[in-house]
Amino acid sequence: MLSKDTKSINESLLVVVRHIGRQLRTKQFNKAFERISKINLVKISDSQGHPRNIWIRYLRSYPVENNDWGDFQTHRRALGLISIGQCNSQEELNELCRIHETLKVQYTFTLFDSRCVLYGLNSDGSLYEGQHSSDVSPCVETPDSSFHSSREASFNFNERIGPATSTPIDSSEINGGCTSLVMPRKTPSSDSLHNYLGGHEDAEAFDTTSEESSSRSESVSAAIQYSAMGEHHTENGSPPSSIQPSDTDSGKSSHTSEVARTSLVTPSNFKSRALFYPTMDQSQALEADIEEFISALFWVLESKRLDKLGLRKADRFLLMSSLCAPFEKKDFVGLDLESKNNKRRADGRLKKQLGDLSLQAGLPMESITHYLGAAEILKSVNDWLWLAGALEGMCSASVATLYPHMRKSPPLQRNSSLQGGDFTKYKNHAMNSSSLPFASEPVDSSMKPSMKNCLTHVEILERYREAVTHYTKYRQAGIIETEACIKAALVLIEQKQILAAADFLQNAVFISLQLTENEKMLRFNALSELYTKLGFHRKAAFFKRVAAMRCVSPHNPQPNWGVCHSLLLQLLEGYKLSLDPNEKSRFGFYGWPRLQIQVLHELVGTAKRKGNGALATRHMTLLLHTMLPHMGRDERREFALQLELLSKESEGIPVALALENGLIVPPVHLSNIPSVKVFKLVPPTPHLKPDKLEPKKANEEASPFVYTPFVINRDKVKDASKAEFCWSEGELCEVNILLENPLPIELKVSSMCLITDGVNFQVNSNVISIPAESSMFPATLTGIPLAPGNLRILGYSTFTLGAKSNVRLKSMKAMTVPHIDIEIVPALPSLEVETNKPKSEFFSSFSDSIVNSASVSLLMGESQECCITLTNTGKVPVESLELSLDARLDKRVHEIFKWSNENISSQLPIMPGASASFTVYIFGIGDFIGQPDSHVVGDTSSLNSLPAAINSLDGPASLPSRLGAISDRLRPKRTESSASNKSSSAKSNSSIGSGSYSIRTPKAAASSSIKTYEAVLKLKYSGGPGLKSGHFRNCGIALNLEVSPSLYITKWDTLPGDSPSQFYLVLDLWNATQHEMEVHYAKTKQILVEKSESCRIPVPLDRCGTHIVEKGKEEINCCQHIVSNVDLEWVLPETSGKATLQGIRLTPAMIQLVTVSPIQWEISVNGESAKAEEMRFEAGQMITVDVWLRNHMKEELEDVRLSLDCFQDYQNGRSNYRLDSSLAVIGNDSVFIPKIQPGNSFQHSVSLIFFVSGLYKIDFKCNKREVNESNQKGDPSAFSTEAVWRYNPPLDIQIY
Amino acid sequence: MAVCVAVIGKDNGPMYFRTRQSGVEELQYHFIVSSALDIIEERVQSSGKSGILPGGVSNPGALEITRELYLGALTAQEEYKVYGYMTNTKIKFVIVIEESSTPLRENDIRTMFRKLHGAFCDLMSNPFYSPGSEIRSKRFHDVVNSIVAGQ
Repeated sequence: MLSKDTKSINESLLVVVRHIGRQLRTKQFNKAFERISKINLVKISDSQGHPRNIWIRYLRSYPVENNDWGDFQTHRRALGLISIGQCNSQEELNELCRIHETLKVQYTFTLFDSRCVLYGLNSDGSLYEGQHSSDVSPCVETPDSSFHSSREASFNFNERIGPATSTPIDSSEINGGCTSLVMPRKTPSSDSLHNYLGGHEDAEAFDTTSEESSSRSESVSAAIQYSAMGEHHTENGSPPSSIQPSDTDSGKSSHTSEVARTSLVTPSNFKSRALFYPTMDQSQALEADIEEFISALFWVLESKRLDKLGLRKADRFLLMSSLCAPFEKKDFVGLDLESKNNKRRADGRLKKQLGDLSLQAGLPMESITHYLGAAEILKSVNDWLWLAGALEGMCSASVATLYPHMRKSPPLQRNSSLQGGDFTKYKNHAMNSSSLPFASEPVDSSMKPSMKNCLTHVEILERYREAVTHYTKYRQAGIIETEACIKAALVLIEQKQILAAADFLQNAVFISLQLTENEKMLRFNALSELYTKLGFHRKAAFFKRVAAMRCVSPHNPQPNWGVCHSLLLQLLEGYKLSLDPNEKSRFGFYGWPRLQIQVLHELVGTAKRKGNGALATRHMTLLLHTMLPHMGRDERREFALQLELLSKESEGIPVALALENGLIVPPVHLSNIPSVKVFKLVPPTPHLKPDKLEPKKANEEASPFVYTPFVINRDKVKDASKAEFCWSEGELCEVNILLENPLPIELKVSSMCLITDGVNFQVNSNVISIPAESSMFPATLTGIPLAPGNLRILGYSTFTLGAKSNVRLKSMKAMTVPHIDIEIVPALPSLEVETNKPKSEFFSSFSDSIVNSASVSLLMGESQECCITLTNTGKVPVESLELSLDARLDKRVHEIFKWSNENISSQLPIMPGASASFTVYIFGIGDFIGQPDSHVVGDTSSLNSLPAAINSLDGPASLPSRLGAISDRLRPKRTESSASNKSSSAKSNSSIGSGSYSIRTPKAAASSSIKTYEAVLKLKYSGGPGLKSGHFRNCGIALNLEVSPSLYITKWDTLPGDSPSQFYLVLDLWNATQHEMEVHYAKTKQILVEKSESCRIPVPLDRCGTHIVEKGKEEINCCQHIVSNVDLEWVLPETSGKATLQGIRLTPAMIQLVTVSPIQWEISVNGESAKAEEMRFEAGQMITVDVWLRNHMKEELEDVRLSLDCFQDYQNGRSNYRLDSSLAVIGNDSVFIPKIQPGNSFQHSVSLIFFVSGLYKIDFKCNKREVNESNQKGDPSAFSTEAVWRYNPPLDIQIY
Repeated sequence: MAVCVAVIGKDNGPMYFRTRQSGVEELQYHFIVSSALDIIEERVQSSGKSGILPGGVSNPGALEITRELYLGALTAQEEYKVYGYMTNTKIKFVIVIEESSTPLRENDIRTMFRKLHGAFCDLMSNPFYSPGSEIRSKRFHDVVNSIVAGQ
């Protein structure tokens, strides 16, 4: 608005540039204007050959009233007129010429010359043909349109002012004697600030208003004849592109004869010079033409200056006509103009005007001399107004000399872009250039010698002060004073005396002017611009706001909300506000919250009054968003409700709004209402979590360290913006959020959904209602990905209080990542699992994907089936299904749970909605061997337990006690100790005769020995597109098994069987259940065991063949033999089961019984083969016994001793071995056999004679001597009792 | 008579603002004080550079260290005068004096500022006050009250 050459106004020629006609587009005009404006300095050599710098100032409009002050300050006269238009036909040309003439009339008193620039015509005046492109588009509203419409009104105006035209005037004084019309002298238009504002392009709004005001005062008088200033044209010669205008009527004929028939002819009454150019681009000659025009102006000016210089005595007419300010006119009426005083006054004024002209004509030094003279005279006659004018002129001239660089900046500086930064730049620029010596400027060097009168810096300040003080004395000169103040301020800014400049501006504020509201607004706006220049941004903003308020003040008959709004927008910067909420962070919360709220609120109001509801909503949103932390509770409520109200009319949308003046209002997102405190993606529930089988990377094993604190693979560092899990296509995905409502009202979010990028994502919108001032309010945002790929979650959108917001994660304080990427895997089926067993109450969570559970209670040895039904609830078929058992705690579960994989795979695929089922076989395993309570060691010691050596071998305490040296057939050994125990009825039809014996009952309660087994049956399934990409899902069924004890084998032993190839495994069974139990233990044998009772059973078993037994692994082999051959089946009323002897341990003695003996006995008595039954002999009869020992082992037997013992068995557990007196042995009753080769036999004969009748038994046995028994050489007792092979059963001999 | 007392932080945001009467008038004083900041900034800058003391006397030898805290009258308008004061920590005090009341001597103004500065120092000594935040101290408030009341 205020171009920087404002300071040099005083020395420049004023040229008005007007846009005429409707053909030329505004843009084209602006372009032309810009080109012309660049010619702001023309260097002309004067008649003496001295160079003159002529400064030109171009204005688009210039109010005529200001022209009236042209006498007081000559730079206020519009000296030239350039009108720019476009024409395509003769009629248009005529019309344009007419308009040009009309315009000339306005400035007729001051105008020296004019030009009419016309586009669309070749230089010869013919129509330019190639123009039908962009230039032609008609009907563009130009500022001049108002001019056309206001013509009629102007005629009236002309009539009204008619009487004033009679004012006599020496026309030659003003315009080279070309006019006889005098415009009325009015009070100076108070809006002379237009001088400063007129050239501004940005504020379109102001332009229109100023156009209006100026057009109002335009008077049209087309009939008036003008004389052109032919002598100047001829002087300068005419450039080829211009047409010599006709001087008088004769010009027309000559003109027409020159051009072709198609040429257009300017109308006869067109007395100006027209410049024809085909198009804007083809008007290279424009600049030259304008320069020529300027020099024409200069010569007129120069001639006038010389005229004035020659004028020694100012007469009273001069004083009356040209040497008085507009408002002084009436003061001179009746004044004695011939008085000495007045003569001096006229002299002074003349000198002052001479100074003005000299300054304009490029002679600042001369002007200073004139001004000094004038000031002296005027001071003496107390002509304060003109004295002030002289002082001001003096300052101007000095400034022009001192600061020539001030004019170097481009004249069309757009000041609205002048901001703080710009200002400092400007300051720097000023500093730099002021440090340059003036001599560096070739132009200035010529002036340097005559600088003696030039004012110093301090003097300038003082003179300005003085001038302003004098101006203050005249109320009518307020506008002049204001201008002087502003000029002074600008100069002081140049001198960097900011505070002094501020004083001048402050003074300018207080000058009371009779202004309309609109003019006041413009004045305050200009002040604001100046303060901006000063660097007083707050003050500038303040005045901007005052200006804005003026636009819509109640006194203003035509409130202009639009202008008010655009002014308010301009002041945001001053209050550290920005329309862009993101930019807010740049200022932090600095600034003045109270004022910011006020200004934003005013912005809302004006936008609303302006009728732009969307904008009002936007501003309100911004207010609420940015100022929330500074608001009190009441304010928050109030503004929130206001926003709601505003948005009812026009709802807030998250797109940038474009204003009429091209300003883009960025969207405001209410990221704080509600504010999201936590934003977390929810992983799919474990059983739906898609997995992918990754091939194991080889390099992972590269490091020799088990653990290293250094991250080996840096790229594996967790990327926070990448989700650690996947979502799958076609399934609902969730994001959990915690919301906070800072408002004291309940916040209704009518739509809240995710913003995503990447794959297609169907978002579901939520309706959330957050209680007032609540925090940590949970909500869930959901959506369904529609395609596999990478999904990027960018943020969320809300619709609340009628405003729609898109909040990005990056703008959220709670988030550290700008977005979250998550992989969407192809669609997968999902299975639902049902079992026919009750669900378990709890299960350990060693797998998190458990979807169902089954609990089974079994007795040890019992089997059950569990049917599992799978239903595909997904949208793709299950094509692959793998089962596995996961039991981290117990390896034995694989024995418990069994299923058929074939059955499962035969049922695939499971189509969506379909089901499949399979069975899991459950077997209640358990340790049947041993006692449920292992704490009764003390008791067991009282039994005939295993030899200590065995016990120490290794020993679970439950290792059964050896049933002792039951050398006889299952004779109860412990009648004493078991006497207290209730004997179980022996219903066994055992061939051994004695059924079962009550043995010690385990003391432990059965309940404590319930064992539980947990396992997870894992289903790994996939199908559809997911299968192809290698994804699968896991789900698990928790299986809980409770195994209660059923049967225990508390003790066992082996006994020789009925035949040498057999043996008896004697077991003590204990029924741990609460029911009577039937135990089947051989093909045909069973026994009933009362609840919690024990009984002993003999299980006949084949001996373990030698081919099975490996040396060194006898026990293991024997155990296996026993386990696989003993089938114990128990039957309870409801169930039945099997018991195994898994885990049985055997002592070496037992092993010996179990294994087939290496020696085959063959015994004959008196030549007859020995039989099982008694043999009868007479006493004294010699009984010959032959014994053959056959080694049927694969290796030879060494150091074996065969011995024979006779004894009497009293059948009461006692045997009598002292039979020395009752029998005689003929031969050796004991032989040492050094070696028996495999397959060979050893034969030994011995004869016995019994002397006493009775029942005898003969026991044959072979002892193997331990080779390594060192201390017992040859000693028969050295033969180990362990390796004893007996002939079984002993021979029974009845002697009678 | 002081009508408005303001304490402005070093980032030019208000820390404390008190007017004699609250209401519509308050906003006006907000504007006045905020505009006065421009002048404070300029004055501090220029005095720092060229050593011009508030009285306008040029003293090129003066250094920044000896800068006087009292900045003098910032703006004078028809109804009020605005006085400024800046501590060495760039905390600004602004007092708006009503013109209509009995004319105050400059010394009185200085006393007011000294009192305010003292109260501010006391406030800063409070370990529970975080510097730069809004002032809510009752004691400080009382001192300001006494200034506004003209005691």
